[in-house]
Amino acid sequence: MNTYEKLSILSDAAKYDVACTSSGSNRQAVKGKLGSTSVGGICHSFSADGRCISLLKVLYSNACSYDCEYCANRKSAHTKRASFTPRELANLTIEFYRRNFIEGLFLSSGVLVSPDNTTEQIIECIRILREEYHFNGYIHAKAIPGTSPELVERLGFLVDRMSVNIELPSQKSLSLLAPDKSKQSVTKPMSYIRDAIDTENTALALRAKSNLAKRSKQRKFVPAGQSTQMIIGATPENDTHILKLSKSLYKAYGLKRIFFSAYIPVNESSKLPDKLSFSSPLTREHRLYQADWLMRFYDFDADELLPDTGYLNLDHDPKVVWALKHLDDFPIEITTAPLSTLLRIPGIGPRGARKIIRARKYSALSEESLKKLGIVLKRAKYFITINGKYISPYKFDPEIISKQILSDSLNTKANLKRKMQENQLTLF
Amino acid sequence: MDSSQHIQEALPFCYIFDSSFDGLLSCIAQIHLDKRLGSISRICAQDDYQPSLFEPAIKHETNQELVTRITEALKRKAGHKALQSCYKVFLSDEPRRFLLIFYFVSVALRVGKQVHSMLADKRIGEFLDLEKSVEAARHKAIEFLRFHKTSEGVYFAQFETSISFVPLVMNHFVGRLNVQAFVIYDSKHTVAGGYDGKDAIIQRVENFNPPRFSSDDTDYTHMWQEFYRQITIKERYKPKLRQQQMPKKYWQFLDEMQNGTAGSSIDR
Repeated sequence: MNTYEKLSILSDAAKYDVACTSSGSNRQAVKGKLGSTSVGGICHSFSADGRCISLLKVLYSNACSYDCEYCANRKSAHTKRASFTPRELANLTIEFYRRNFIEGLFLSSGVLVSPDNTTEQIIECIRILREEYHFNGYIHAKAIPGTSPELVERLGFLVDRMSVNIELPSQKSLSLLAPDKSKQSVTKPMSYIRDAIDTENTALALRAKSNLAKRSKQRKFVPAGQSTQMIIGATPENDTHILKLSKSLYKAYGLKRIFFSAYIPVNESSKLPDKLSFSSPLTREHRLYQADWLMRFYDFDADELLPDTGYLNLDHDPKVVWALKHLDDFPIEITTAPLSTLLRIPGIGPRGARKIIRARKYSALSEESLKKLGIVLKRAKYFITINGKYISPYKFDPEIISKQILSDSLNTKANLKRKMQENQLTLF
Repeated sequence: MDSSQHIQEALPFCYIFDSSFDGLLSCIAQIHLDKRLGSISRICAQDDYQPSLFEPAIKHETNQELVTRITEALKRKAGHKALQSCYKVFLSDEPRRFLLIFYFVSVALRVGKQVHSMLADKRIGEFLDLEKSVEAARHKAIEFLRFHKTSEGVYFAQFETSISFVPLVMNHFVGRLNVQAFVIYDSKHTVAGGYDGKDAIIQRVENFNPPRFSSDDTDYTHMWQEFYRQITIKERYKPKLRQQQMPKKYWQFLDEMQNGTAGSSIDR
């Protein structure tokens, strides 16, 4: 099989992986080395599903010896199998990078014989890239659950980001659908990565304190941190469960990100939702991301967002839901409120909040001046006063506001389009 | 605040400079010396100057001493960033850019660093918006330009966007590609940036001859196209979203947006 055919199979097999960011690492160019990384990440293309393509996202091999029910590459599935060789994939990465197609490599894999064997091959590929080709760009590698700590450590010093997929939100679902993986096989490498990052940070802090060499020549251990991903909707866990899990994952393992992936049926199985009638919970995935964002950038605690029904409201984003529940704290006077309070206003983000604080130092705020700052009041207007004046023409009442926001968002063009697309999806 | 209140003369002047950034700075310094701050109708680059009736034109010869003086003054008063902002706006295609730079420099020399937050001033606001759009266009070039290997082993990229982007992306690519010789060609502004692995130059290029590509280059293009097709989740097809992120005007430079090898459509 030639590289073209392998690439075709192994990129198709990797497409459901969500994370494709190249952010979090900032490495200046080094003389004599190919490549650099940029802290905000760079998208080099966008696929037909609208997702950013930043990295060469492939599996090393899809010849998997595990038999996870939800996975397109499960052992018992009838699909074409392929595996790269370390040098072949390293070459391909370099050639793509030279052409400005990509920022680097995102490498995952099926379990080729055993987790350790798979990781050894992955390490060899990345070693060739880093040491022989002096590749200085971004690399994100998956740690295969069950890999031994020594290999995780070696891999960690070669890559920018590492992730271990927890795949499913509970041990019960995991043993039902992925009998070869266990919660422990996932959390062990995760804690190992966390500890190694901590150790290195402590060492760096000590060195900085004692004013020794400020910069170490040695490559850092997983400088862009670790992340994980889980499948939503294939198993019965509700959003309350998932948000609680996310909170504890961020806390326990210091994760940079958690990715959610709305389940798309690929296999027929009595243990999974029926393939024909199942429609992928895209809106639910979207709401979970919004809740996740609120926890990471808006200082919300998971407990504040937990829905009474167990599931996040599909009509409203979690911030609006929270605001409507706490209407006693509103409307918020925008000319005096501190940053933490501004961040609680639906329709105002961290950027807008900081702009407001900067602008009101110099001049008095008005509806006009807010618009000039680029603050969109479409949603915020229901929740604020400007110099004591409530600017929405509607009554300050939870039900009226809820209805009004709903009709606002229904009337946007994008939303009408989305509704149409969702209807089309259910037809298949 | 409005400098048009300063001096009024019967007819507004048009200043013509030699089309270089230094030339523009020198010219702006000359206008200050001539005390004609309030009577400028146009500042024109020599390359695209078209005379107009009833408009006295003054042809300015670039004076390196004036360039140094105004650059130093600007840096001292408003910081290095102000000079960079001017250069970025200089590279845009906005017809009024020279006049806006002139206005920005004049205000910056008077008020200093504060000029960067004077969004309320109409012309400064216009200048700052323009700077932002230049930054955005530069980013598009960094994202979307594509190199191909020529038969001489040099990597070549042709690209166009709304600004003369080459001077703004050379540092990025020199740092990144480092050991790899390359040429970036802006076919809209006929400007090319070249790097031989050691030194970089930027040049105007007339009569450009497209290079011949190496035979294995096509293989990688085909692989990239195949990767692009496979990575899409078909159940989530959203062509509108893609087009929003990757505007159609760039598709001609993107290998993955050309029809597939076997005549199949890009999305199969």
